[in-house]
Amino acid sequence: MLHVEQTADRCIKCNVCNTVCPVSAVTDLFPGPKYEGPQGQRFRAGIDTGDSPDRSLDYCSGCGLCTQACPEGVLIAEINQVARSRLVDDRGGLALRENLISRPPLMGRLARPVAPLANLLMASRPFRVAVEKTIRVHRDAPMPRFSSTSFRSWARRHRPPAATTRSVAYFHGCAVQEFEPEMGAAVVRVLERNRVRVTFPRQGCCGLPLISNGGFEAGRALATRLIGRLRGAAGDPGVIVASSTSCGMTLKAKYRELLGMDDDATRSVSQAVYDICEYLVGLDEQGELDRSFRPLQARAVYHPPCQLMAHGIGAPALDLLALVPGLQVEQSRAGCCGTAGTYGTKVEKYQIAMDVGHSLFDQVAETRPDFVVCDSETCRWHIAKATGLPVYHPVQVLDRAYGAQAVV
Amino acid sequence: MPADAVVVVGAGPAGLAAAVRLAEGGHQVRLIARGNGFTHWGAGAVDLLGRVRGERVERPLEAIGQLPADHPYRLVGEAAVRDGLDWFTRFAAAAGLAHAGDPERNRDQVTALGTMRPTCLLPAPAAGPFRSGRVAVVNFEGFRDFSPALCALGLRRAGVDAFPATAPLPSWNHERYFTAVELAQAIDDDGFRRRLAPGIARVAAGAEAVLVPAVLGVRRGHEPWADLERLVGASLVEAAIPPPSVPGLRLFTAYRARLDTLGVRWQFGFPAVGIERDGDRVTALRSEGASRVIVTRCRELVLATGGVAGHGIEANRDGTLAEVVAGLPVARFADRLGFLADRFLGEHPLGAAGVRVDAELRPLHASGEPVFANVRCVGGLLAGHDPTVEGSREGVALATAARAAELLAATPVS
Repeated sequence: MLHVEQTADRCIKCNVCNTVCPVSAVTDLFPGPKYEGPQGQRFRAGIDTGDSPDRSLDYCSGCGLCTQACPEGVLIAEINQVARSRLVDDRGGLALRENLISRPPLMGRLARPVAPLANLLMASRPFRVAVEKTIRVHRDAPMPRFSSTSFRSWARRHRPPAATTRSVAYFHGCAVQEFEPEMGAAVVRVLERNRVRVTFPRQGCCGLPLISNGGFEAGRALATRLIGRLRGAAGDPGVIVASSTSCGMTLKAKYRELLGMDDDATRSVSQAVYDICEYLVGLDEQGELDRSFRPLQARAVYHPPCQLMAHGIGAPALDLLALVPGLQVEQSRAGCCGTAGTYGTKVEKYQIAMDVGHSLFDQVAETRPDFVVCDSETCRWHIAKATGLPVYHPVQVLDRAYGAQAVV
Repeated sequence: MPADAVVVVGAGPAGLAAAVRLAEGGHQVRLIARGNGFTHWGAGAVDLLGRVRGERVERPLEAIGQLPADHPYRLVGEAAVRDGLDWFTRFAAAAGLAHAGDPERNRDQVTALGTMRPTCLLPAPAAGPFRSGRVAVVNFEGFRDFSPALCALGLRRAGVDAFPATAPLPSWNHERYFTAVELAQAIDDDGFRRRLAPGIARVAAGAEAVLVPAVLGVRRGHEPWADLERLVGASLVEAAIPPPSVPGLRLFTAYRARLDTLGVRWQFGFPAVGIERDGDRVTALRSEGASRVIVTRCRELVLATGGVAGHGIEANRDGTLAEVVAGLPVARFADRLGFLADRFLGEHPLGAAGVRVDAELRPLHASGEPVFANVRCVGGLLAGHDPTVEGSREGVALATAARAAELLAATPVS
């Protein structure tokens, strides 16, 4: 297999990637994947010192649509991410802001004992203005709500059902652990409804926010720690289910592609990881998914996150949502909602993220659904803020259709 | 995805048409593609048959009789050719992309070089008359993929009274870099068009027709073109420009919307790498995923993976050619020295290399026996034609997609 940077040689300059880039469509600050990626790469190759040739690298959101569109197999977004890590190294490491917003467990843990107060503070305009002025996180960027209880404390109290036919390990990620424990509970309920026993191996941050901000060294430390912790689960039960699309994608492919981790342990973990919807569709294909969903009289817009496309599994949530009687689902026509993880929270990029998401927000405004469905947490927060509608993970919808009295 | 799905591999002109037609026929369809295809590269018209043995063709349906017996048109027959084009014309018009022309005779498509390429169906914005009277060749200021002077020179050589001009762009969010697609997205906007039109009208004063690069809107069909034509007050004709193809993107957008409406699931960005089989039947497609091979079960498999340029066919180290998904035999390529032919896009042995099929589009062994009972090959993957040299790419795609839809309609859904 070619190293990410070598794939630049496959580029035939056809410009297909530029037709899907949501960022270059709305701003001059990013010249587009072809110029930034394979063309810029010619100037970077072999240069180990000195400035990076193009600071506009910072403006690539990393959505990866270019890589998916490329008919030649150039890993365009990945080329840019590797180049950005060198740009960050040139600058002497991640800036304060990037360091803070790339460490969700740190923020979550600090705020947990005072979660109601922290949430009040985050909702306060003067505080957000002060944050914008000091840390340069945009005052209007959506922030997750801190939770007083962590997911793992819920999981410790949780009693699994007696009758199960198979087991999976659940990689819940930071968002479920710190901000959305109820979402993790829905995942567990849906799996258990299907006679799947769920285990909760010790885990931690996958490092994706650090990696996508260019902090490869810090990201690698987290990646190595996580692989060590999940290695056992990759052997037994052998299946690791992830409900965060972007963290799942990181475990599946990015350690190998971006961090060059190609050892046995990383390989066995990456091959054991399944997106939760991918796993449930797999059960259904074997005739082992409980299809007794109660009707849900509602209309929804489903937005498949850009990072889901990087799994190479299509959009399995559509197959699952189609099983819920009464639920009408319209598919989003947008390639990316704009936020791309932490990108859209930054003061200089917030407007770009809103402009990128415009076609999705317009579609939602036209369709007037009861809610939006999206697999990825940062996308959900961004879409909820921009549209004012509730945005759920597909599994939360299934959970409700199984009869849970929870959120939807 | 249930095991009775029809899996289509490839999202070029053949794969897209086949997927839509099969889904319209009631099949559960899954489309798997390694990336975008020829829609994004082509001139945005439907070529049926532009040249036979180097001679320009005026009547493409009649000229089919001059093609070799193993040419895809000869295999599927004239009815499938007509059906393919008829269906396309209806599909495109319903999506707001009306096309002019019919398979009886070829038409001219004007290019950025001011030359004429023979084609069959032209999207309405490229179909207007521009041969008589004075013609303004207008570029938009700062757009680098179109030279009005070069285009006008070519047209004058062809006897057209053409003059070059450049229209100013209203202020917008791209001052430095922009591509055809970004300009087309801006032209989708009503306000932008209203500000753009007076500048075009001014620099094109005195012209009966205005030739512009094919960038007049991308997300809203031909509506922005029609509106701008009204605002400018002269006939606007789009010239084909280098990739990315905005007319092709309009079409791709229409296909994608139709596929979503029909419930066709997409899997994009990863190549198909193999099959699973049970005797002479393919039972599943294997495609790359982020960390492991993804297995998609299927009842029927339609390969629309393209020829050498589309990566449906790749070269082995020993110089032989291989079909990449199912390891099908590749015909029509005798000798690795053929790689060294003079012109890559001219008469090149690689151009006609492909998979030999029977009249039911099933791939054949060298002996003439079908390799699989439930695999059909469509589009550029097929042996016996050279889409670039003949100017037959979209026609073969649509005719073979039509034939595949017809054949599978007769297959009982289990």
